[in-house]
Amino acid sequence: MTTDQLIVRRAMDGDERALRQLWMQHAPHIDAVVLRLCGDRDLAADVAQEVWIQIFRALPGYRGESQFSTWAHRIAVNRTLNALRKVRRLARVELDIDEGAAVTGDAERDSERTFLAESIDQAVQRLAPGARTVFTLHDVEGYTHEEIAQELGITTGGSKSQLAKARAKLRRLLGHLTDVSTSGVQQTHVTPA
Amino acid sequence: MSLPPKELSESALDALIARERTRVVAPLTEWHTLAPQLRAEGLIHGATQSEYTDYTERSFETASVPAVPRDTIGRQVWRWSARFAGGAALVGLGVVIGRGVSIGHEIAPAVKQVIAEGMADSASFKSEEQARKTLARAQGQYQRAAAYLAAHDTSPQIVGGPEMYQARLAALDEVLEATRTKLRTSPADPVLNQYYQSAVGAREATIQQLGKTLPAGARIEHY
Repeated sequence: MTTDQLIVRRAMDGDERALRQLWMQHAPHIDAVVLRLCGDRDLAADVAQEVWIQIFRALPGYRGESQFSTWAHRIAVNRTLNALRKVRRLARVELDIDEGAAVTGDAERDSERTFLAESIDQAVQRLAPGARTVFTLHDVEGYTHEEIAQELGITTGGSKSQLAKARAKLRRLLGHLTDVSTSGVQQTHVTPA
Repeated sequence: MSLPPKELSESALDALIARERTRVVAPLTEWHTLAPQLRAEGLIHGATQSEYTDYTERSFETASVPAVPRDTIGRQVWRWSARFAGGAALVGLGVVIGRGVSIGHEIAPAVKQVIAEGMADSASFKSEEQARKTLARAQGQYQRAAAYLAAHDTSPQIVGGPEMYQARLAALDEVLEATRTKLRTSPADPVLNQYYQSAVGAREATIQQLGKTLPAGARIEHY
């Protein structure tokens, strides 16, 4: 039995130290997922609290068939999407697509020229909630369009369309980074936003 | 006539996305707000970790003292001595990491003194349970003190730039990796487990400290 499995076993038994250790080890990743999907830090903090409660509530059902991080990650995404539905940020995802199509014209391109995102994180915040969610789920979290369609209650075509528009907008928002070499990817610990 | 806006290439966007995929953030949650809710739902059993501080030496003195078979005493003394030494070394590690001073000048004698004092005091323990509670209490106090200092200590020793905390994280990563490797073969080793847990805690505190040293608009990408 690995150390992680031992910690999970103790956590299942209600050992506070083990629960806390799981939280300490995985919060930086889990909370990052929540923050990406929520966009807003205050909202994300509230949702993250609910996510962790849900992860620990569901712990007795963890069978160890996947890594704990993978299992917890899936719960985090589901719980965050549920929370976002409650605050109506995903209530009209399909409409976002139409709205996006309507405003992706010269006027919006002009406004985008005045906004230069300094990071992909900042640029993603400029996306409509639906587009941000689809982009995050597909490109960052690795969900398929079919899974996204099921999660969000949209069509796979809608998901693909949303993703294409999101990527196109991100490329424009980050266009000034064209000359930046990919060496930035290798930076560790800290990168100016 | 306006020039068409520059666009990032698909491959460059993919490279940025790959980096985003590994980005982590300082936790948005805090254990002291999570724990009460988990306890209220019955997901945490037993005493709170902080309750260990409520124990007093008087309560230890009234505790019953179970008989210990003579042939096990030697093993137990060694085991708890090793455990205490591990704890003391952890204190040393924590001080080295937390205060950024050199082992050669201050820490080694301090650790020796702590171990010596601990061995001398060990005679006052009347049971394994009593010693275990004392150890748990000391660990809790150490972790709370370290967390407090991480948040409040403005003395020159710990005021540094991001580089100092990055170096600390690198050192902690080495400690964690070495401990994790050994735990694969000895998963129940109490000393190794304490090292591992304390190093994880120190790493978390360091990430939070690193976040505080960043200039406005900067962020932790990954660690």
